[in-house]
Amino acid sequence: MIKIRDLEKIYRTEEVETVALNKISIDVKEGEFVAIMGPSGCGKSTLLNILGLLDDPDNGSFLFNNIEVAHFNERKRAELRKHNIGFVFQSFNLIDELTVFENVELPLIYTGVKSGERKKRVEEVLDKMQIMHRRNHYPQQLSGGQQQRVAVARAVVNNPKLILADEPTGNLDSSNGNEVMSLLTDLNEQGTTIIMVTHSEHDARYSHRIIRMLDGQTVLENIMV
Amino acid sequence: MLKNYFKTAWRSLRQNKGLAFLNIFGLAIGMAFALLIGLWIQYETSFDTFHKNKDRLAIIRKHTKFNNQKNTAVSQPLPLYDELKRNYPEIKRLSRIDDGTYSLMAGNSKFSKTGLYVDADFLQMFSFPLVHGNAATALNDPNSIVLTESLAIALFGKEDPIGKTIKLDNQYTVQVSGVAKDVPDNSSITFDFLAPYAFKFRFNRIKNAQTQWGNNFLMYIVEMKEGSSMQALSKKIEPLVMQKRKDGITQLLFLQPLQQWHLYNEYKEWANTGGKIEYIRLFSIIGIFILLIACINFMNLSTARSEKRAKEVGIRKAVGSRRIQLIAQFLIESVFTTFVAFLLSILLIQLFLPLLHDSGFDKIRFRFGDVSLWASLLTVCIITGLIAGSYPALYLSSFIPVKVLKGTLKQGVAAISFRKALVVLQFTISIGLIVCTVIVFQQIKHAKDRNLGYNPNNLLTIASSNDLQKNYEAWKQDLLNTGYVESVAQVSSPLTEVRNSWSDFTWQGKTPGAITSFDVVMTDWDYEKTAGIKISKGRGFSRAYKTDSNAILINEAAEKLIGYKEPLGKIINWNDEQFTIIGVVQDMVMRSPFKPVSPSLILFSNTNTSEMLVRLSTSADLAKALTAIQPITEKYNPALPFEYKFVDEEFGKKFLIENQVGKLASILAGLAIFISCLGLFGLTAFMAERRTKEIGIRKVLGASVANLWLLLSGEFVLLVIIAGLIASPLAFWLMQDWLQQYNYRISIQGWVFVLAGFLAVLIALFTVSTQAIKAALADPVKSLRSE
Repeated sequence: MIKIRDLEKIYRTEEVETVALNKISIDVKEGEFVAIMGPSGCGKSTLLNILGLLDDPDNGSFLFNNIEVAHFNERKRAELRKHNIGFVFQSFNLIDELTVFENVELPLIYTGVKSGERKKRVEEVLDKMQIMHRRNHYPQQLSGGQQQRVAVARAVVNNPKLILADEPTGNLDSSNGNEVMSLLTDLNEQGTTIIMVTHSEHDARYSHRIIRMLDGQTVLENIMV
Repeated sequence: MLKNYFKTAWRSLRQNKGLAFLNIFGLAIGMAFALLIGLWIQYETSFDTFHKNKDRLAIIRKHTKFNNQKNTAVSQPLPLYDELKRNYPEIKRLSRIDDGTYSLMAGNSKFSKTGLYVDADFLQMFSFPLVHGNAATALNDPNSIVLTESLAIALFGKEDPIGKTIKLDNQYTVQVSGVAKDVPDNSSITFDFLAPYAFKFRFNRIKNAQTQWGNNFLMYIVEMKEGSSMQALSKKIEPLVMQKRKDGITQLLFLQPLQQWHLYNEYKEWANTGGKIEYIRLFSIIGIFILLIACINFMNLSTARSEKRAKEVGIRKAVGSRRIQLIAQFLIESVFTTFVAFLLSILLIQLFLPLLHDSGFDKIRFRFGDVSLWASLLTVCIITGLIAGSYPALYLSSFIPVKVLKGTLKQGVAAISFRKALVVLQFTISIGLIVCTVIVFQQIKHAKDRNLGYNPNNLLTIASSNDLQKNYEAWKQDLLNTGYVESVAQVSSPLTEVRNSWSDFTWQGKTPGAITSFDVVMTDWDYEKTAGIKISKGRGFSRAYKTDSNAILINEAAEKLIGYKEPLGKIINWNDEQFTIIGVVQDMVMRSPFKPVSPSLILFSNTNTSEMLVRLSTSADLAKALTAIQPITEKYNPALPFEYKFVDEEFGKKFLIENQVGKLASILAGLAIFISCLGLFGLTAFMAERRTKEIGIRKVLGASVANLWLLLSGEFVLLVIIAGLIASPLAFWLMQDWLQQYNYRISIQGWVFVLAGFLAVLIALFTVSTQAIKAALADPVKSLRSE
């Protein structure tokens, strides 16, 4: 599903040049659950952002379902993203002005799903995430675990092929963290490819494969049994 | 998707009430005044456009050259009428217009009203529809009269007025032949009644004028034939008066389209220099500026809090929104905010309109039922929303989701600099307006403080009549006997007007071929005393000198023009008459207080007077004096209601436009600075919030409240000072240009700019200080912990 080759990303300021990704190459198959680990600043999040088409690589190739997307323009990237990719962030990133229902509904609005269909799909996913009873609440009225469940609901509502999770349990206690990980595992079992950046060995054990990074390169791959 | 945008917009407003208030209130005030100016412009530009034949109507004007000065006038001679009627087939209809105030009596009702003597074509040329009578024939009979609906009701109540008789000036009986709808406010031609010009031919003065090409006292309006060129006719009639007079005096006729009359009525050196249109242009620009200042507030406050909106932008982009969709969202949000402000502005308009009555807005109405008005107002609302939202939309939508979702976004130098530039622009406009306002009022004061050459205080003008002239001596004596009146005089024109300008005077030593013109005042004894005129040489008219019936007083400007070093006793000729100069009076400002005084002559005549001047004793109680004068005047003047004018008030009316401009400019300057400060207030609050950590650290390290106040306020004060430096030369250039229209004018002084700048700095400092001190006083432990 994902094939990246010799991908480079360099951040430049007036005086400093930081190599975030150094000719990295990774393959992810459809239905895989991959965890990316490494110390802070090793390039995990940069990689995830490029995989999510939120950022551009400077060099290298990025094939998504055999299509070269490394240098897609803004319109094409938005198009591909909204139909194929869901995001789960460490800090939940819900819109404070929208209710739970409206936050989850947002991706469907941008893909042009009709109102009746939207309602049905949002209710289904809220039900599945067991937060239906909170549908009219605002994010500030929810606990961290509930907020992350809403974020996961928003990520899956469009039935994406790929979910990118950036330290999804980073802001949660262990109980809520485990719940979120179970949700991601369920989704993976239903066929969704998941790539997760994490610092937690415990969370990484939920995945099929762990890619360890250092200084913008992969240094080790562990296959989980 | 739209629903989602509106929802976000509405909730964003609700969650940020302080910001929403600053944005909406600022925009509402800006829009209210911009819309008010729009309504005023709509009213002013609607003048004379209601006539069906408006494109074919024109006023005849004339360029003249007397005393080596080029002037443009509307008064024309009487014989021009027959000449135009007979020899110019391009003219379909033609009417003379002679206006005046006359008394009308019907039964016990009596009124003093403005009437126009016009030709029979008048009612067919103009769209003043009749509600009773036939427009084609109503003015055919010389003894007919057409009343406006209001006057008809005032005179006859609910009775049918057609065929009823009215006593005009207590002397002539005329019959009502028509009733016209009241003249709309936006008409340059106004009247309470119309009477046929043919009526006037019973007076010798008019009969004699039929052959006088040099006697200018009538206005003419022509209606062109369909398809005829106004320009061609204008060229054709140009030499007509000169051909008839054959005296070499330059008098060039031309046509001015009626629709231009109201807005383009000023001429200088024979060239049209505009008129009210200048103020329309000026206030259009100011209106746009006021709106722009409010829009800038919106832009600055929206982008200042962009860090708070950044997360939303990142999320929306991550879940699939394109930049164009975000731009649309933010534009919809700003249009939505503007719409809320628009609704508030409609309320504010209702609130402000009565307060603007003496600023030229007395005729402006907000017509709630006018669909086209609503359509244009909504267009303005949407355009304002799009302008206000343009920069925030482009700026916010440009955020890179990776950065904002990671919380690493910091506002760039470019965005902050742009915001500062907008603040400078706001204060440039505000300071510029303050400077303009001060200069307008200085110019008005300059002209008001001018030595008028007479004393306008405690002086009344009462319109004369046949009865009052007949009983003049008895009336005058009775008034003097009351003890409230110091002196009385009869005169051919009020002190604040010139009704006679004669050109045929000669004197010994006059340069051959010199074309001169003098303003002429006719009066009898006690004029100098009553008017409070100062005599600089010789004496005034006196009963002690029987020869004074041929005496003449000249003003200093006339003395200069005539050129006599010792004018007393010298002779001035006019046609066959000879006048002896017995005195020189100081120049009297009877025309524009902004122009030099014209050469004037005061002739002794008690038969050509139309006004009575009554000087009250300085110690007299005004109410008691008027109560005493009224019955005496009514006794000798039974046909007219007791009406009077104060000369000082009449003089004050000469500043009408300048006063309106000054008041409006001061209101708008105040508004501009107020709206700018609203924005500054919000901006300082955000700046203080952003710099909470910095303030905390500085405090911990020993910074005093004063240090922090200076840190937070200094930046904004610098911006206002920069604005002052930009505004000063612009305002100087603008006002220097404005002052050019006045011959009698001030020179712009430097302190005005310093004052305006100082005032703006002071107001801005006060505004930012409230927030700066609040931030400086905050507990540093809390602010550092929150960081």
